Amino acid sequence: MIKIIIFSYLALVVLIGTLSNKFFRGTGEDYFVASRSIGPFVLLMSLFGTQMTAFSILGASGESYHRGIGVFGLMASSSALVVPVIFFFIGTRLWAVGKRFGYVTQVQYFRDRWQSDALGSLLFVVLVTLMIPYLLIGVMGGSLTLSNMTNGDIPAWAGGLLVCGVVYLYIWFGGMRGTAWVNTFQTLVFMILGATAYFVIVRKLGGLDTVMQTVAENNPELLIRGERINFWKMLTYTCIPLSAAMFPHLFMHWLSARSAKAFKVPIIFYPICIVIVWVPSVLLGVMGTIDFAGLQGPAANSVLIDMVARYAPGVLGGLLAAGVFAAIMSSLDSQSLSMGTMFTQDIVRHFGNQEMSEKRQVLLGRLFVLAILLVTYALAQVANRSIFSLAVWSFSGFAALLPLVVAALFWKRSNSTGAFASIITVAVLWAYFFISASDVPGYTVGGLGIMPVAVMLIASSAAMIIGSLVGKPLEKAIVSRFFPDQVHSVNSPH
Amino acid sequence: MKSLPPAVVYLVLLAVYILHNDLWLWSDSSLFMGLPVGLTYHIAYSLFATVLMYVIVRFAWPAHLDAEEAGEGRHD
Repeated sequence: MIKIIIFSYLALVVLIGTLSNKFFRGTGEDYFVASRSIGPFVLLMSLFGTQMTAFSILGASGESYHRGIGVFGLMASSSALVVPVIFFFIGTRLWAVGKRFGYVTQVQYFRDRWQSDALGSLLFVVLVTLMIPYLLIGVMGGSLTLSNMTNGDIPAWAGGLLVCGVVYLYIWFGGMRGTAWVNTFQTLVFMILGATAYFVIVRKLGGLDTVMQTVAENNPELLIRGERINFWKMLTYTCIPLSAAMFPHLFMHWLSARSAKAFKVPIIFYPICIVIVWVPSVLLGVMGTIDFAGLQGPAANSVLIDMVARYAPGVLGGLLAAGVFAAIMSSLDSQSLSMGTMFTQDIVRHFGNQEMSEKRQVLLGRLFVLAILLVTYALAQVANRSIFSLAVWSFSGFAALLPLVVAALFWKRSNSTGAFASIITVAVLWAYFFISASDVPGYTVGGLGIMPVAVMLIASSAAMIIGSLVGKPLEKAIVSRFFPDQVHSVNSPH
Repeated sequence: MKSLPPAVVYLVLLAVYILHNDLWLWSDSSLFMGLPVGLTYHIAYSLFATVLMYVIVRFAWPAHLDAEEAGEGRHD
């Protein structure tokens, strides 16, 4: 029964993606950013769905299993404040500049803003490198879900392959519009089914009071932050949601908005969506310690699936598994599409044929998405870090690049020297911390609880400021294009 | 409609950011509304973020961005 439901769900998702193809206009801009036509509700659902990954569903419950309710404060409530603030200050402005100059990727903007091809190429390499762990967690989460829900009837390798195949099909047909539509559907699915799972499981465990009492008796440390999450960790973890400012897939979703006003709904309602998804994930992770004691390290990533399989078998279990799939695919699609867009626009088109036909842009985009999914799938077969840990490293790198976008949007004096200094600083520090942490579970700087992202962010900010002050200022004519005294029309000369 | 001065917006955001670190509940395992009080606090914090965002959108919206023309295409 579970298999039938999961396969039916996947077929439905492909159908929605296929239907969106009816509105496809055959242009690159339509394929990559849906002709900048997405309205407020679909924008909220697609932005939120893109942000919620296997990390939020499986990783959060796995981490809560080990560290308790403090995980919500670490990542969820900080995101509830930080991410909408980023949409407000950065997303809206990037939408405007993207609309004005016709950008579809971040690299196009930064190249143009600071007049440096080399900078764009370096940024391209760094963004793709940081995106790999983020892509990996989607495929790993899909493998894990299908394997656990079918008691191993469908092996992990087949689960990952299925997720990649379905995502590819609807990206092929629908591009950004298909992705946004499917994300809207999938976000609603995993929000509704996540909440349902929570209530069903808590009820079967005897009610919230009984469950909390049991946890308090067996694992009281899971109900507080205590020593597992110290002050510095809590404080510096709030830097990680800053990554939203530099995610390539969020950038593309921002550009797909119909107008600046379309951002108002996502800005206001994003925190509520966070609560709906993260509270059940965190609590079910904590409750999982009652029935599935003794899970070590990444093994805890499956605790949510194990609980669903035990307490909600049959039709509901199949639907809940579909909900987990929904969360996974609603991120993997946008990430793959953004990578495919970057390879098409920032490499092939920029360095090769700038007059490339619209049809060829779309074809290349589709082929690059396929290549990215295949590489990700292959890497997922050998990766063995926890989903939470992989995501945190990816987020940390993107968050440390925040000074780039802030300087580009708000600081006229910033230039390519500062941007180079900032990116190189992030790359070096990220590699250093990643290697240092490879043998140290729960690594923090100096063992004090300070997350590496905080150090990287401070260093990259300093590098941006010093580099820009030392470097040659940009010509006024260039700066004035990006800081016009009067609002430009969208058709202003590029 | 009167707009909020940017300085006020920044100060409020900073204050709310600081409130994220609820040191006073760090080791409190008591239950409030059926949940550990540390979790209840952060759920309330998240819901307050929605209220705050509404106020900022309402009274500090960058109106100059609205001047960018809407796309010509079909709207979803």
